[in-house]
Amino acid sequence: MRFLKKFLSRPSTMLASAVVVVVVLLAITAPLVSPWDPVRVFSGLRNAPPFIPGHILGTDQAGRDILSRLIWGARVTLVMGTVPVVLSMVIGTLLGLIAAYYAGAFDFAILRLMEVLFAFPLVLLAVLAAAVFGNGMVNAMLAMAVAMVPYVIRAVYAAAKPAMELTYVEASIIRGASASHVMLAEILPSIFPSLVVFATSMIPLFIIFAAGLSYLGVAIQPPTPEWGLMIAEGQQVIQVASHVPTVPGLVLLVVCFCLNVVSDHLQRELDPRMRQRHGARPPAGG
Amino acid sequence: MTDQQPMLVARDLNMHLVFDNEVAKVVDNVSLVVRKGEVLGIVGESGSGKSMLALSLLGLPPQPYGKIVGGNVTYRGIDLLNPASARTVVGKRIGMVFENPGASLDPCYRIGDQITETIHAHEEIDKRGARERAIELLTLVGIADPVATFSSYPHQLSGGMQQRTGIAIALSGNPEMLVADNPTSSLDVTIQAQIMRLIEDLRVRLGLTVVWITNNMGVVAKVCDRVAVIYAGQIVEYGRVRDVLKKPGHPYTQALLQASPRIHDQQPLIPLRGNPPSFTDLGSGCRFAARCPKVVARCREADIELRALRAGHEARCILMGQSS
Amino acid sequence: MIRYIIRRGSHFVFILFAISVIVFLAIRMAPGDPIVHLAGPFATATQRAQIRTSYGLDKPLPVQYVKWLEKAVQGDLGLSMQLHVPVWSLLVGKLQNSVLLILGSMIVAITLGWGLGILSGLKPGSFVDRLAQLLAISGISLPAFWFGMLLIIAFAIRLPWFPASGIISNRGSSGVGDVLWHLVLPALATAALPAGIMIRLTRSTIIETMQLPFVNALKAKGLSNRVVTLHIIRNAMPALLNMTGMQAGFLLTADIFTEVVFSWPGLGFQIYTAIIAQDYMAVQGAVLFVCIIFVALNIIVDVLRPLFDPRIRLV
Repeated sequence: MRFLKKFLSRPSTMLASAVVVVVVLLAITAPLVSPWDPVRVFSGLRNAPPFIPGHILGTDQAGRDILSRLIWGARVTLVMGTVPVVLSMVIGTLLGLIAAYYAGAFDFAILRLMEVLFAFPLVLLAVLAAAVFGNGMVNAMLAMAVAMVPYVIRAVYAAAKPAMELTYVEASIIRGASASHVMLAEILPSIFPSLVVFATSMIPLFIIFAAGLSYLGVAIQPPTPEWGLMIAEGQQVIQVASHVPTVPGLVLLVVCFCLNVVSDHLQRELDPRMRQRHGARPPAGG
Repeated sequence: MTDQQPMLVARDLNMHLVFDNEVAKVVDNVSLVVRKGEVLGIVGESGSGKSMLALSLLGLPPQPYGKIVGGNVTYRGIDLLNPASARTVVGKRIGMVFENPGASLDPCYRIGDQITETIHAHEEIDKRGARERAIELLTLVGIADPVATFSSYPHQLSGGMQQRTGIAIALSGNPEMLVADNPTSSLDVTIQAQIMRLIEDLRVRLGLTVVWITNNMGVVAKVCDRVAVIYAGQIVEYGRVRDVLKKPGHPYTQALLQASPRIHDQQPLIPLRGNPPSFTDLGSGCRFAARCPKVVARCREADIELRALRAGHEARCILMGQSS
Repeated sequence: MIRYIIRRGSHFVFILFAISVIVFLAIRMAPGDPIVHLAGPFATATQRAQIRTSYGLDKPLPVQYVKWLEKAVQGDLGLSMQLHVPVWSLLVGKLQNSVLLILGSMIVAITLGWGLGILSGLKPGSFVDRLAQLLAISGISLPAFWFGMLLIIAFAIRLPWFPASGIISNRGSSGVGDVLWHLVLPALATAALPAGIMIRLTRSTIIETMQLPFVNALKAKGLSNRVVTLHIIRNAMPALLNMTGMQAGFLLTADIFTEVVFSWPGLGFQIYTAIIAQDYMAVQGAVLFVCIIFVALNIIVDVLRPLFDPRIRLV
């Protein structure tokens, strides 16, 4: 409870969190709040500008209501931003912990694998994987998750390796605790906060990444509404109806901005806290 | 023995570390005087704020969070809190030696450059002259091959050599006063003795006034004339070494003494339990109350002032003069 | 040093080998048959078979791989199925354009990233700091392709100051000036994300460095603020250079989004069109090409590190 209060202490964070919550709620309740069916075509009303009756944000190049597509698109976009992060965090954390714990064969194999994966620039890997395994949301999410795994492993490894030297971990090993116990119950809790911060900072990046992949046409396919795809389709009518590609992008910008503000605040709360809380040790040493 | 002339005078000095939503009062109303020719010891546990005090005495609150929020510090009358006037003193008439010499040297620059840089900052001299002086200084502090060291990087030197270099740097402005912040704590025991002897040697040879900051009462007993005991950012006891060590007025001083090994008596060592309080959670009342073996209810009621025990000896305790 | 290069070099070869296998297999596993594209909808089965043989696609996979690898090692990456030109020369030509775009973006990103990052790091909480942080968060929250579109709307359509696409004008003069004129908008769009990242990383590096013990020691020597700041920046350099190298490498493929928006004929755009056309040869070659450059860039960044940090020895 106190954490929540501290978390919301700054007005900027409060505002940003509110925006995020609203967007998530809209996404969840899309069938209830969306004014129209997102794929319904209003023939004769193509590229209609905003603020006309019935369509507060106007219609797109195919005559579909933009606001409805935005609300329904929120589901897709949010899922595509979050699921790969969670997936890659789970896999990457396990592999990173294993590599840190079992120095030697596992360590070697996992690190070599990572080197190869790292050789593929992030974007290329995702584009390639999406192209190879076919288009579609699931494949795109898998591709992004795979692309991100090496970065997670590296971060976890870097955090877990020094944790192996901690006395209470050594004590646990000597006491005969099983490998999984040491990794999950001793090391993981100590690195957990930084992992959470890492993950929350990745979500907005992945939302943009997913939108980008949809923009390129390798992820979501029409007529499913997705913000990046809406921008791609809208680019065709950029000269006559600039609002069509602009509005979805603006929404992307605002949502990611707020997510980043929240993630930053989380980082500020979690990291320096750990340094300060423990006694009077001021930063430059007693 | 000492000239009694005040050199460094701090009055009600307050330094805070200001974070986003918290303030740490690391130096709290500290007043002290360092007189010419004397050796003043500042002693306290790790975390008591000694290093913060040392930096504040030179008008250098650690950035980016440190701020001097009250009081003043002067050196022979020159205001050290004013950057313009401080520049004529800091590094030139006061030199500082730091704890952990490896971390106190800039890793990306050669030793020679770090010394000559200081020399150039404080006097008009040409490059060759500065280099010669630097090599002289390195010899003065007992470095065997000063020319080789001149061209080395800090990480290529041993701990002892790094600290000797640190001392050389501190002496490069021809100071009258040396502030030594725990200069030996990170060194091997044998090297510790060497460095202490070196500093004492230099003190006598160059006529330096010295401020020794340490967590070791043994050091205080051995080299200091006067001592200030620090706890949680405040001075809790202040006076001549023989007075403070023989008849300590503050329970914290007593505890420190009881926990220090003494060669000549067989008393068991009594460790001091607990940790110093967090600087952000200081309440009112005596800050030592949580760990004090003699604490009574009255101790926690109001902030305690320094009171005189005898001439030239004060302590911050309301129970002074009562039987222990 | 030599030993290090040899060791990294052999790692490099191993990685390339692994990459080539993965790329080769991955592309072969992709759904769809390029022969159908190439031959067109009206080809007969015999014609398709003929085309298949001419491309060597009727041989078993390992054989195809070895043949390809043999040629690749000699610099012959085959012929693009779509454009019928040698893949290698196709890629090299596009690489130049991508490098141009990356250089342009990095100039903008470094100026903003290092400049604002250092200024805000030296004075956290100040107005400059808040402004820099605002810009940084905006930069990382902006989808590059959308930003590019916005720039096009604003500065190419509404205010016809810059061209809306391409690298050279169709009519009229072409030359260095023309190319640079075309470079402005795409470079700005591509620079947003790395600039944002670099502002933040630079800021935190400077703040961390500022709190290291030697900084207090420098001040206690009586050095001026300007000199102390220079020391701080100097010490932050290894980390900053590492960051910059990584951003540049990242841009090598991340610029695919802005290349598509602006139809900038670079490597990313090429890969994109090749994937859509299912041009096996081009995609294989391009991916291998890009990975080689990427890994080589990493090795160069690593080799240069001791230049700036005397503590690092290449081992």
